[in-house]
Amino acid sequence: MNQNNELVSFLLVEDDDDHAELTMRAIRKAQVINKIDRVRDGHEALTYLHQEPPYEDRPLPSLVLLDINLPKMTGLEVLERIRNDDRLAKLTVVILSTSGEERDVNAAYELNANSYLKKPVDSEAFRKMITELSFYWGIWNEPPSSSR
Amino acid sequence: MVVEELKRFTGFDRVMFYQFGEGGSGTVLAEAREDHLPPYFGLNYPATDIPDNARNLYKKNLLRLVADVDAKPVRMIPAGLPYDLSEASLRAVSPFHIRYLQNMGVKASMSISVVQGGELAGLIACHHYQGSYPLSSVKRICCLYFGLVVSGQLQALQQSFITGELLRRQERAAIEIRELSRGRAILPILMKRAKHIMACFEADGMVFIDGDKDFSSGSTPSVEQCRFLMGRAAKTVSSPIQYSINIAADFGEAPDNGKSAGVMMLTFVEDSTLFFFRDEKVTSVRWAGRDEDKLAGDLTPRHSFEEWVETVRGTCETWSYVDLALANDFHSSLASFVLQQALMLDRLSKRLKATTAEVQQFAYTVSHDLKAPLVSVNGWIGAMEEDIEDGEFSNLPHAITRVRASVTRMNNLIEELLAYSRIGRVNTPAEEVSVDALVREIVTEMTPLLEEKSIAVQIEGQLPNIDGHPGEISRVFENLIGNAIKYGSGHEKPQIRIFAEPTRFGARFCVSDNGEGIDPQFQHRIFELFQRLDTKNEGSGVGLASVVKVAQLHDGKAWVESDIGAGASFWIELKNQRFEEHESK
Repeated sequence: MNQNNELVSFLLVEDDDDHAELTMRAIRKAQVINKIDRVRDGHEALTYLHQEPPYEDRPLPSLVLLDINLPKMTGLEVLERIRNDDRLAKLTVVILSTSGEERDVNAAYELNANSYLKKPVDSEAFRKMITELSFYWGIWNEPPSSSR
Repeated sequence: MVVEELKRFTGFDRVMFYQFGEGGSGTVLAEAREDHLPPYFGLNYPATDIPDNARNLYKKNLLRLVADVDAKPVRMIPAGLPYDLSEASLRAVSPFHIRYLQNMGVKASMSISVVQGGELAGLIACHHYQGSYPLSSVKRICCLYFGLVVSGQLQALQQSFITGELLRRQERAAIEIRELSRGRAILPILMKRAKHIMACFEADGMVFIDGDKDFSSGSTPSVEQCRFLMGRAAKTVSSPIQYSINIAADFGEAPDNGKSAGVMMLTFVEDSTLFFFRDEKVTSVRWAGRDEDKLAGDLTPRHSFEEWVETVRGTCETWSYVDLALANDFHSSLASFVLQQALMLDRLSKRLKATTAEVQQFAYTVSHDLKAPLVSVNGWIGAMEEDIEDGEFSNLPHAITRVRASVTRMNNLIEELLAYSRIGRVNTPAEEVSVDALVREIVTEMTPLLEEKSIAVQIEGQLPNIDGHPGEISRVFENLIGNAIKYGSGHEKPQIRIFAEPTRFGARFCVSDNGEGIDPQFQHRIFELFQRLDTKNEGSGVGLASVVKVAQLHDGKAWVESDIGAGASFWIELKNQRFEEHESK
């Protein structure tokens, strides 16, 4: 629950099974999130956000955690489609990537990403980052109303 | 000898051999005269002395006799149309010619035309100063034949002189051309051989301008002025060889070194020109009387035959027929070489661009794909530590399996990446590869897999040969056929077709399947390194990137034609690979 007593849900867009499992594990351990779903690619992510089958019953998430290096569509292309979609435009999207490549970071902010986080190789740091982002974006952050 | 002989035979007071030069003026080259007469030898006569229509008549009537300058012409009354007397040898001559002769004090004259290649090259002029001088028709015919023999002899002599000089200088030029075409770039050799090349062209200076590089040797105007000449020449004439014996007059700017006068320019490509310069040669011309004596527009022959000497400045020794022939040789041999150099440079810069792009992609790949397994390994180790701390052991075997899998994945990625980077780094020269044999071998090797998935393979016709490296071309077809098997088996009767179309410099090949096809919106990414369209199928994402890289090495390209449910046709266009493609490694 956030400060407004609303349920907090995250959508993780990640094709790497290990990264997905480790991220979800850390999020669960932080114990702030009510629900977390994971999809494997950009296409699936848009299906989820458009509430198309099999995701008709899923409400819009509080946060989309988006990897860049995805099959088919890149994370940046997914972000662009979200921003160009009136219903999704104000969704909170945080990029989560193994790379801190300048061109990726700049492109992400040009597409109005809310934040860009680089996955630390150190496991302690990785877990800490996931815990903190869960608190920050799940509890403290006040998203715009139309994104709900 | 010719004039002496003719004087003896005809008995005229003076016999001269008169040669026409450039611009139509004439020079007395030989003379035989009575001792008391003033010498005309070496004198020049302006072109206007013999008007064009007179010249044409000289070509028609090879012999003209004016037996008596003072004879009164008899009028002929034509019965109908006026008679054309051009061909008549005893007709009266133009009153102007008579006046001209009278002005010189000549009483009788005879001219024999010397014709070369259809043009009036000279005249043998005979003058008599004491009364009329009729010559018998037999003697006249003899003189006519004499003229013909002289014409023929002269032409033969000149021809053999030109041929001899041409051969002699061509031999020397051939040495220089060989030297110049030997190296990778013309400029350094040009600098080394400057003296010899200039000698071939009998030039005093040489300049070579190639883009922003330049080189000068000997007596030449400044490079800036050469660039100006280049610009002017490019604007006015399209011919690759241009010459002038008077730069100031032809280009409107006097050579800024104060010495050069003539130029020969050989343009190879747009901004690559070789210049030869000749210094000014001040000449004195002895004119027999001033041309200016004549009033403008007046047809009357001039009165003054008094000698005056003119000093000609600003010109150089004429570029001869041999000079021009040599320039042509030089140009045609070197133009293709210079062009080849430019093409090679272009190709190298393309390769450099490709290499830079590859390095950038490599860095990107390292930051994305190679780091991912490291994050996993460390993540799982951290998770194990937490679980052990919490006394929770059930999850440990899973974590250990994931660590092993990540390490294996990391290793595979590195191997694939190395194999990918090795493409194009073969040190052996390109050879003719039988793609047909190679593809049939790959299909045979894959038969067990094809039978398992009941895929029919059809190779259409005989696939063409390509110059390249068998290992690299094999890799292309292993990848394309492997992909077709992996992704093309969705159809109930899966089929793979392999065929080719010849192109001008090689061929394009197609591996086509009737499988599930590829959504056009994702097609642009499938050729990128480490990109895969799905996470379920095996494969590293290096296969199609390798296909593209081989295509680039062959100056070609790779692409896909496909739609959802419509199968996929992967095309690769290969040009025959030249030896220099691998030379730079």
